[in-house]
Amino acid sequence: MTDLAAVKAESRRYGPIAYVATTGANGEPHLAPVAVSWVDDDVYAFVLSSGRKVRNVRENPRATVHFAVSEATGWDSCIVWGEASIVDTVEGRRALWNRMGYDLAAFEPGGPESDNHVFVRIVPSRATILRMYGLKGRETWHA
Amino acid sequence: MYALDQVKAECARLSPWAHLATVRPDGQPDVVPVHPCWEGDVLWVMIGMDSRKARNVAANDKVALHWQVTETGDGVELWGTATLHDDLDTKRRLWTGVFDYDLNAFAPGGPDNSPGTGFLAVRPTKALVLLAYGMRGSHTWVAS
Repeated sequence: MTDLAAVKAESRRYGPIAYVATTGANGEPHLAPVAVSWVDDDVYAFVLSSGRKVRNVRENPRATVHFAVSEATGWDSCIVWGEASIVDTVEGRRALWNRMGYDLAAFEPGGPESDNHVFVRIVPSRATILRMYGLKGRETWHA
Repeated sequence: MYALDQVKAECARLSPWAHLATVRPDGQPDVVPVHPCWEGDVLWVMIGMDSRKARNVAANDKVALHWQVTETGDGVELWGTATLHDDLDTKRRLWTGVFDYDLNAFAPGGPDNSPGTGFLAVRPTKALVLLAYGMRGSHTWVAS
């Protein structure tokens, strides 16, 4: 058993891109590569308001983040399961605008006042770190 | 509209690896990295028959795969329905000539002596090819 601080530190080895999975109302999964950031103890992504993952989260809040696996990180995995919600208010976007670690204005010139983008917030409930697909061990964390 | 062969070619250009999403009975998605290979128009993934993804597919056959995006943000997402296979005929057929890596590295018993090993067959229903995360365009394919 590990702790959330160790999960957060581990996830940063993989770079900013993670594959975020959500589930539609019809039970179909959706998987999208997005830039994610930890803000305090939650995972956030800045996404288009009209996107599939936003629609899915509004219908089913369960989401999973799989940080990108690669040869560079020895095929280790860091997976975070949690409950997602959409931050779609101007106040909410303003509070997060400068906390993602990259310039959001490059993607949304309208700034936090624009309704074209929202934040997906994922509150982690558990996480697993797999060493080389689990062949070399695993560490788990539960809220 | 793309043809499935164009989707396959795009997958091959991107990476041998993809992330596979399946769904638990309570609607929670799971994601794992996999190394899938095509046999005709069916996409195969080697799996453990008692793995989470196998149990998920037994309850909900809908899956999605996303090939590793390139540095410029090109990617492919593919949706389909999946079935589980651990019969000896299928395992012997797939063990040589379909996968582009040595399955014995993960199941040294080979097809005849790997009782926990099986395969996931994904029959694609639709796909989306995104160039630079969609900023340079996109292509879709839908099964007829």
